[in-house]
Amino acid sequence: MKTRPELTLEDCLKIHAAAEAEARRNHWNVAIAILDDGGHLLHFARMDGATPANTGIAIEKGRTAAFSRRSSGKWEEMVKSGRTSMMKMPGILPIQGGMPIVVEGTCVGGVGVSGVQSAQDEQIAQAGIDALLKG
Amino acid sequence: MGKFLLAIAAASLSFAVQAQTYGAPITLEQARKVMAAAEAEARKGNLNLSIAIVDTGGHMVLMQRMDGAFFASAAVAGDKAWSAAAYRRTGKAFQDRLATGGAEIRILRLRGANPIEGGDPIVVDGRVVGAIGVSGGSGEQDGVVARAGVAALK
Repeated sequence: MKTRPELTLEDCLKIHAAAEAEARRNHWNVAIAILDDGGHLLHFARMDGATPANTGIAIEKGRTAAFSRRSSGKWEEMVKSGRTSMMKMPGILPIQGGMPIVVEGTCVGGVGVSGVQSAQDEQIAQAGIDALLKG
Repeated sequence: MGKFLLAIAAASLSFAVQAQTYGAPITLEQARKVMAAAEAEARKGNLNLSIAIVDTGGHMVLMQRMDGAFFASAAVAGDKAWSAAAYRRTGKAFQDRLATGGAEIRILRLRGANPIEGGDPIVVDGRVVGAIGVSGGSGEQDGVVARAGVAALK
């Protein structure tokens, strides 16, 4: 029988703490969403000063990464390179800031961030994932 | 006359006893206090739940799904919180009203209303600052956890 790793709440809290610390270090107010490999919410927090719109954007970026197994930035690049048909992919938000969480070669979920520039959103998401993978 | 009309309005919306208005939206720090109290209550009962906290616009501020909670609970917790914030009343109030039957079945057509126990407005100084939604247990269990969360800001 095949087994697969699964994110626990403790893992999510670790990812979130590191991501939020990265945001605070830069004085950025963002929303941070963590989802499982089916794209279902596991953890979410919106810092004071982030907008209500950031909530949905963070969740959709994270979901994109979680269930497509690639970063939302990759999808954005595809659109930018001219494949505009990618805009119609179901459930995909092609905007940088959502990163898949890959553990031992398996995608176990995704992190989505919204609130600052897209590259900065991704930097925050990656900081969270790095903290998890460092153990 | 004015008083008379008010009495009729109050009678036709008798569960509008919670006549609060909205206050400043809940901060992340406040939400964390609510979450900590709710989670502690859930752990006390050995329950694996999803807990969501939304602001005065029904937009999510803080959410977590405990290990073992089924994934629908994440969405349902958010729905219950949205309903409690949007209507400034508990899911239990809707649930009880619905249970009286007859024309009260109309509650099922209220946009976004979640008539299941486990959604409660969060009230600070008499004003609704947000709401909490809990899902994953029985309605009663969800309700106990939600109220424990709300009590943290009392």
